[in-house]
Amino acid sequence: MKGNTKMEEDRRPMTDDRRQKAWGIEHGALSKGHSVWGILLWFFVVQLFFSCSKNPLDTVFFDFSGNKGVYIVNEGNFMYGNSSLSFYDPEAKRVYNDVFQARNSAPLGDVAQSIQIWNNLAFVVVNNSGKIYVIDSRTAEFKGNISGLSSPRYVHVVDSHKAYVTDLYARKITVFDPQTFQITGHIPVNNPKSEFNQHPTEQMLQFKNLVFVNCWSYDNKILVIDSNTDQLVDSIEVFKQPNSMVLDKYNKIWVLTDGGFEGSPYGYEQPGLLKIDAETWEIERSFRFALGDNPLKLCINSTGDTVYYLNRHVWRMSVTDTRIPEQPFINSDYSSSYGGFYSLGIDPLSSEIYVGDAIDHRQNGIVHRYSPSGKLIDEFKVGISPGNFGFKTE
Amino acid sequence: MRAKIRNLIRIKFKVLLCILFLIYFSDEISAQKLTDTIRIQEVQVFGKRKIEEAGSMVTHIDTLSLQLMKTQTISELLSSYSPVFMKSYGRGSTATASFRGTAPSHTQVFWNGMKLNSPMRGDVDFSLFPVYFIDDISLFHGGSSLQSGSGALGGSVLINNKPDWTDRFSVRYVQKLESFSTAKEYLNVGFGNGRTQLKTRLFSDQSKNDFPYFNYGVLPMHESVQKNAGYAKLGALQELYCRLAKHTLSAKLWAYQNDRDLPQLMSFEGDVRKETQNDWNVRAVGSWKYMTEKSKLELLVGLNRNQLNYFRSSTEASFVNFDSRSKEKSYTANLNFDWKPQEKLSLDWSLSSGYHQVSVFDRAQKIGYDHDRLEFSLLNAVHFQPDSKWLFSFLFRTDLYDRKLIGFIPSFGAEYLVDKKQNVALKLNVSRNYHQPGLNDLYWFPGGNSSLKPEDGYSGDLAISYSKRSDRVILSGQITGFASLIDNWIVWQPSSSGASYWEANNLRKVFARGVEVQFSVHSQFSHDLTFDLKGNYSHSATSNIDAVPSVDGSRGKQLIYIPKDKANLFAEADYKKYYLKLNAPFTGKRYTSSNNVESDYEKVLNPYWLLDMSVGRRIDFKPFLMDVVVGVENLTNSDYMAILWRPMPGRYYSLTIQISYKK
Repeated sequence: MKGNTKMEEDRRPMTDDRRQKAWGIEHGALSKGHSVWGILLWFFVVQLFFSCSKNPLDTVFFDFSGNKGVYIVNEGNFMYGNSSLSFYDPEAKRVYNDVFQARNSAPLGDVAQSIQIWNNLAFVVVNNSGKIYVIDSRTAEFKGNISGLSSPRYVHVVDSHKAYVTDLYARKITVFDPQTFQITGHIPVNNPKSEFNQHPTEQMLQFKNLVFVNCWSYDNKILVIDSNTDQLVDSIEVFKQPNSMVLDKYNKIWVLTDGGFEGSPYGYEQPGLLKIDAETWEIERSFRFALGDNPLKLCINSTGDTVYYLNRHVWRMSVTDTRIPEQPFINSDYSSSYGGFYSLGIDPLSSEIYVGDAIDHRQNGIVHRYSPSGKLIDEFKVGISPGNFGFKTE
Repeated sequence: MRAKIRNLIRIKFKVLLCILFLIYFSDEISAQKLTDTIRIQEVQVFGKRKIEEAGSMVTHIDTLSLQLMKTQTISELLSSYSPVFMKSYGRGSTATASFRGTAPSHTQVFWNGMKLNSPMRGDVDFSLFPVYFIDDISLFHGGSSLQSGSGALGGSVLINNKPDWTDRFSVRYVQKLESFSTAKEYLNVGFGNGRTQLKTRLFSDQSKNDFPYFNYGVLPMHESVQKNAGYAKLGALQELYCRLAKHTLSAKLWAYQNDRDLPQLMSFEGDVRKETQNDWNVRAVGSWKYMTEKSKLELLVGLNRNQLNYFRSSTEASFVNFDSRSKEKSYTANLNFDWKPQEKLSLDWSLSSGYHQVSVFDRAQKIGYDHDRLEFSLLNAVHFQPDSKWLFSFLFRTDLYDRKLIGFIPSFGAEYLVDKKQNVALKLNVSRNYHQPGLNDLYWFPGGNSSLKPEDGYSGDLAISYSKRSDRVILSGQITGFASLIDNWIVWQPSSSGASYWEANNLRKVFARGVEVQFSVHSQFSHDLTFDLKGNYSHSATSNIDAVPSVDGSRGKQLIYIPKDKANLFAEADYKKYYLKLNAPFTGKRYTSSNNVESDYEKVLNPYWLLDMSVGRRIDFKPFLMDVVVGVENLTNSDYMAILWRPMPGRYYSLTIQISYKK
């Protein structure tokens, strides 16, 4: 049974910490006004609980229906199992942390990688737990899971009965039904020619019936999959280690490559940015960064005419530009050897820019929210290592 | 293999039942109280004032505790009988030490004078040392550790083997059966005369380790059984001792193998993974001692070879993620000269050298490194007693490693006997110390940083001790306050450049301070009834005082996974041939995020008490001695996490039988 699952009694010892959590005192985080909200929430919870549960202090109920907003996936630390999910309401400028655990009383898992929102559902890919948790995007309530995966990375919903999951190590893309959460098939992507014997599939984007998949670690391919037949039809060779990609309004695929790292057995080259025609698969333009640069997290705005990426700072570039920008768009004021901009997301409705800062990757990170012109609107604390944003647009 | 273990255990159970039956229907039982282990009185820090330990903060773990914990590992021993915090990943898993709130690499371990810390990682896995293989263990806290070597910013652990010159022929066999298909066996054979002694110890410890637990890390929550946590350990220790007039020669050889499966976190629901770690150690030490009335000259040579294989694969996709082999070879040569020109003056010189070779390669990732390190350390020490109340020590080391000279590492200690009658003494120790980066920190690929500076520390201790002995009661206690400042503390974390791997940097300045309290009471109510109570408590706050960016909330906060509070209580009552032992270790709250966030879900590990109990009976079957113990671990069935989302067993049981013979 993968759907609505009745939870067993929570047997964990009740401590002051957990009581406090349930009071919602830590929810919200930055401003004092939030504790008022916490108390209101608490009354709501008490009302519900005393009528229906043995465990009155555990569950916190959320209702984000009607709120546009953004889910922030906090990766947490590898083998700590401390990833988490935050929800930010841009209108009220309010953040709700640990929404998954608060609502469902169980942790999200180890290293949450990404979130995909579709049809009031959110697919949260928990990489090192080998599973995808499906929640109701309006309430954060657990709806089911897809388990038994190897190292899942991203979900792409093709249609109402088909979704793909990419994977670093599985040598295949898993196909599942986004309504029943049942695995319905696999698309093998094995690459026996490569010395590293793999296609570590990563992000996906769809153009007509074709799904393009970039292969990042120790690879240099964009795979092309026919979503009608679930077959790997071809691949496009790009620079070393394509880490992210977007589709612009002219149907051009932009691919950012990081070039590997110095001394890598796969090789190391200058990072690059490529523009590929989605129709002809021809590389129309390519740009190179300097060695030592680490460009990542390519995003695009709501109108599909400007791409953004991180390279210590936030950079932006019009899709019609013929050279990569010389000046950053938003400067990071970090000068120390750690910290700085770690993740990037662009609101597909407002084009507002969200930048995650993981600080030392061992504490609650910070998300900065900027207007499309680069003006700081808000800052808020989230979970450990904020790494991915999922926009709730309805 | 699993079936084999189960079968083996079943047979052993039958054998044990027969033995038990025999014991209870035998009239041959005499009132003999002791097993072959000689239960000497505890040697306490403040017992006899040893001039060589003047002003040193030393804890000797007594033979009683060693005897009690003989079927455990040193990790469990230290966790129960010392203020050292052991970070253990669970039953049979890796365990590293945090001495006074410092990092695992800040605890140095010496085995019969040879340093055992991994030259790669800098730390020691204490789960690889069975208590059965040691005869003596002492802890040197803080700056007092400089006597044995530099680099122990927290402290050092000295493990020794010793001959028993009275032994003509002795055999001891111990068998322990434990829950979760665990079987442990130990054999010790010794023989010799007043001039030569040979001792052989063998052991095996195997477990399926499939304990049940309630999994609240997944949805839906459910009852579960720990998977892939089994282990098999095998070891042998051979010792040879000779003494000829003023010369003593000794040779010790240690061989050890540990194969373990590594379990996944509670939240894991992925495809079948195979994850294993295999450790091999072979180490040998030879020493020659020349002793005269006033001096001692000792030459020691040692070899230490370790190999650690780590493997992880997804079985379904037959994709190998990691397949690494880490090989370490260390050669040690030390020359010590102690000179005691008079009763109240002791001088000590020591030159130690080490050469370490490391080779790491991961066949799946196709990356690795090869490196070596040559190091020298020269010690000059003086201990003197100007009058009956004062004792002083001063020592300094000069170290040379990787062509870097650390010229002056001093330590000063003083001891003042406040009240001779009550045996109240005050002790003081101040020192400087440093810790060289491990070879992984420098050369690990990718992310190692060859320009790392050594970690640099200053520390101070102040202690007051008390002991009182009457006919029926022996009382002792000590309170120590300590503070240390460690600069250039090495941390691995993602760099601000956005590179996809982590990098080592000298990021933190750490201030550690705290208190350690130890006490012990021994009382003899009558000839038949004795009672022992021992306890220790430590409070240490270890915080990063150098968080650079203004948003960094880790400034002044406790380092993760290091509890501020740790305590242990141990009680034993002996009545005739019966005994009852209770051991209750306490671990305080631990944070898992550097900003010490208090109330996020499961981000704080809650404090827990555990309670272990054992009941035993000693039997004399002349010429054999026998000891039967029934043990219950985690008696209160407490539900706790030592590490985030790693399950721990609830209540479980054991049965131990020891048979010994001594001519």
